Amino acid sequence: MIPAEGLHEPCSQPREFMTTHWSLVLRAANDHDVLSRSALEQLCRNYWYPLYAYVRRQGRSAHDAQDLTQEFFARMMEKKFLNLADPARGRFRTFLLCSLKNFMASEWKKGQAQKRGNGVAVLSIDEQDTELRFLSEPADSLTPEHVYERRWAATLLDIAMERLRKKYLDDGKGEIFNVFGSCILENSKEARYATSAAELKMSEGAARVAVYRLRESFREVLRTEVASTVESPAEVDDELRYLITVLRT
Amino acid sequence: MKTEQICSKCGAELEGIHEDACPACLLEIAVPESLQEVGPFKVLQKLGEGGCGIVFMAEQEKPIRRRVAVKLIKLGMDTKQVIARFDAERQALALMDHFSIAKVLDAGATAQGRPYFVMELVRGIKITEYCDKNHLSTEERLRLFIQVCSAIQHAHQKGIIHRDIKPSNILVTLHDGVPVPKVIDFGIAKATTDQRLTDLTFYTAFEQFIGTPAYMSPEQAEMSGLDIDTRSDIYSLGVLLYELLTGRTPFDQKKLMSAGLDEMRRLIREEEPIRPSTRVSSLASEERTTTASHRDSAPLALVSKLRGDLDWIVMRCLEKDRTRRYETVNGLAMDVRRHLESQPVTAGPPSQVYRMRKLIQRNRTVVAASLAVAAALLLGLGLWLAEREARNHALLAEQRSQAKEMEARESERRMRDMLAFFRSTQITRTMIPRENRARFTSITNEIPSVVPPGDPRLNGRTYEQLAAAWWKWALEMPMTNAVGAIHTWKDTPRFDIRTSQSSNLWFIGSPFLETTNSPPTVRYCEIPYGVELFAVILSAESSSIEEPPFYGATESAQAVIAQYWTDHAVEMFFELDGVRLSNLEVFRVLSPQIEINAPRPWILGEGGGRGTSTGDGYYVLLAPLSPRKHTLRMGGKFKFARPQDTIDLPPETIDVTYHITVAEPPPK
Repeated sequence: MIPAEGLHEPCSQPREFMTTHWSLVLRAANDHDVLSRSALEQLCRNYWYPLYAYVRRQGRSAHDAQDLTQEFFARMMEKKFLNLADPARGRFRTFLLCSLKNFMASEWKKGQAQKRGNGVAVLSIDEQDTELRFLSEPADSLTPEHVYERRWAATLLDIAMERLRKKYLDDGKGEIFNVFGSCILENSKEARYATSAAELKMSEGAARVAVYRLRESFREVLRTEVASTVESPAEVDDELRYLITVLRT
Repeated sequence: MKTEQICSKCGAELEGIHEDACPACLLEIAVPESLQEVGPFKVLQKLGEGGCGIVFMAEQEKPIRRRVAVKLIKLGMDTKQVIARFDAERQALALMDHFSIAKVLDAGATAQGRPYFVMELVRGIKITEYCDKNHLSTEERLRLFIQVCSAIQHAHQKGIIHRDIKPSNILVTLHDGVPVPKVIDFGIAKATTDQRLTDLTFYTAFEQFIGTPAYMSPEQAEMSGLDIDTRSDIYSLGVLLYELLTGRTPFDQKKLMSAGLDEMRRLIREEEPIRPSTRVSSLASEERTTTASHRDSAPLALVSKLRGDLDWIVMRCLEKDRTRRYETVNGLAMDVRRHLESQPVTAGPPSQVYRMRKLIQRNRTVVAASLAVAAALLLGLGLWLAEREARNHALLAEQRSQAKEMEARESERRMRDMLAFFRSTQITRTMIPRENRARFTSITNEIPSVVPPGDPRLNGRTYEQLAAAWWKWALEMPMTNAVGAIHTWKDTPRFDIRTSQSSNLWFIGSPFLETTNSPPTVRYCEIPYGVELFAVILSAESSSIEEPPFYGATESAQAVIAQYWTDHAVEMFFELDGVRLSNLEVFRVLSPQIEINAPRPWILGEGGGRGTSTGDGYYVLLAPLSPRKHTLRMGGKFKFARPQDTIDLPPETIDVTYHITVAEPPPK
């Protein structure tokens, strides 16, 4: 399901930073490189929801927000905005929001007048689902930027969790993921180990090892995913810490 | 199905990604622990991991850039309680100033709610390891031990009990090639263990917090947590001494840990440990040789060294009944010193009668069931021994009373010094506004000329505590300014100024934003309640001034000058906006580690000589700053104890502007 998966495999090699989606996009910003296009497409596909939440938070109606988001991604794929991809800007997260803001400021009105998206629908948004998801968000006093960043973190985690699940499934260890997936934190309740271990007919020691491995794999998957949105390996820790700070405030 | 779901780690509300963890905690899994930030500290490197937490070397940026040790407590404790307990002891901890005590600088909680403690960074190795590595002889070990005792004694005088004395909390560092033990973790054991435990949490709490039952006193083993006093530390010191001498703890750590909780408590409470000399001689021959060679000795020689004095000293510390231990750490240290000087020690072999009584206590049923003949025999034997004991006892009692008298004389002298200091400071003459005079007098009278420790007039406080209270009060008094007018600062919110490490001096004032001539070293200081302070740090090593003295600034009526001298300074002048400031107030205090709550932006200087146990220092303080631009001229002669250190400073002028903002402290 993730076309560029091979770009940063294997997951089991810790800390190795391969060419990532985003660095690829940045490098190829000015030519029509197929690889970079598909990489960008993948990124956009993964991270459109935070943008949608941002637009909604700006006070747009659900319908408007869907149109706008779709239109924005369509333009994006046409490379109308990629020139903005200044390598110094570094992170896909900031780039995406920045581009959207520019788009909303200038292009949106024009875009409305034209035939929508020049017929290129890059993103198919399930209108009802999306809006339901947004409506289930807690109604709080966050700024749109804050909402965007929180959604970004959540999306990131969703993707990582999904990959982890898939990885376990592929390795024939789906059961382990299902049972221990909820014990991923170091201090998950002891009692749960015991019951979960019993469920799988494992010893408690073996359960601990399984949870430890699960946590390690999650760490790798998550770092890899973060890596795909930043430009250099050094930024992974920074980005993680930034998102943690955002979530904690 | 909407239930209140919270993160099992940080307690935040969940957002549906995971059924047990919030997004932030999930993300944190991917951040290497070594890169996490602990409070305002940047974690650099892991130093160690113990039963109750992980210790990192960390870098502090504010108030000064320095390396500190940060102890991050394991999860599972009530952070608020830990911090509250630490805060309760903070004042007392701040009073400690001893070269063998690593200062505990601060405590706080990370964003995830884990409590942490910030300590002076000590680069050293465990005392036992140091001794073995360097093949220290028994005598050398004892000398090191005496230094440890002096640190613990100092803490006890300030009302702090360590509660967790063990080799890993005593690190040896080399100062110019001389080994200096440093006791770490003061105040932490109390903050982290002194909580009431429910039956349910009992065992985990036990496992979590008490990593080393081998050093635990019988009363600590009770785990009631309520009645621990300085004698508990004496027990642990006894275990330490035992280990330094024999390489083993009185009770085998493994045996204790495997014994199960109840059995372990019973062992610690009831089982009499084997004497050090017997312990060494009963080791397998190979082990005995290694143990002896670590002590630069032959096995037999080691045994004979330990037999007698050292056996008795150790065993007196290890008494189950704490009233039978040394009363003070000083007493213990003096006995060790007596042994080194081949003088008779006050500790003697445990009395035979006492041991017999213990024997009977332990085997009550057997004794009760035994024949009357045996009982009579025991009684007869007991009487005979008792008589012999009485003779020994009289001799010992005399020695003890002599030691006590010496101690009393020493404390009397200290108190007289202290009192002389209070009586002689200028504060009594120039800085007491009339309306407070009555109060001042009453407080001065509260410090009686000579009282023994524990005198009811001290009202449960130590002399030092009383002195500290006095000093604090003196600082909070509305002050007269340089020309004698009275200022009251009723409306100014309070803020704390924390004093510095002993080898550096901090002058703390208000925001110091523009200078034409910058002072020697300006560092930004801790921000009390949002106010930026600056600090000027001068090195205060020996009697040399490495940097030109610091200039403070004020307007004519409100002088603020801070100056520090290691030994003495005379003949200096300060002119501010053309007005000569003449009455610099200089206070000499014996215990400079006093946390001061200043009612307004104070400038104060504080210092303590490196390596001095009393930490003599000077305080120089005058009136508060005024928020505008001033010109300050200063110069003068600085004379020190060593004549060659005299410095003649040409007059210099600087322009300074102060901007003062003091915010309300946050509600507690």
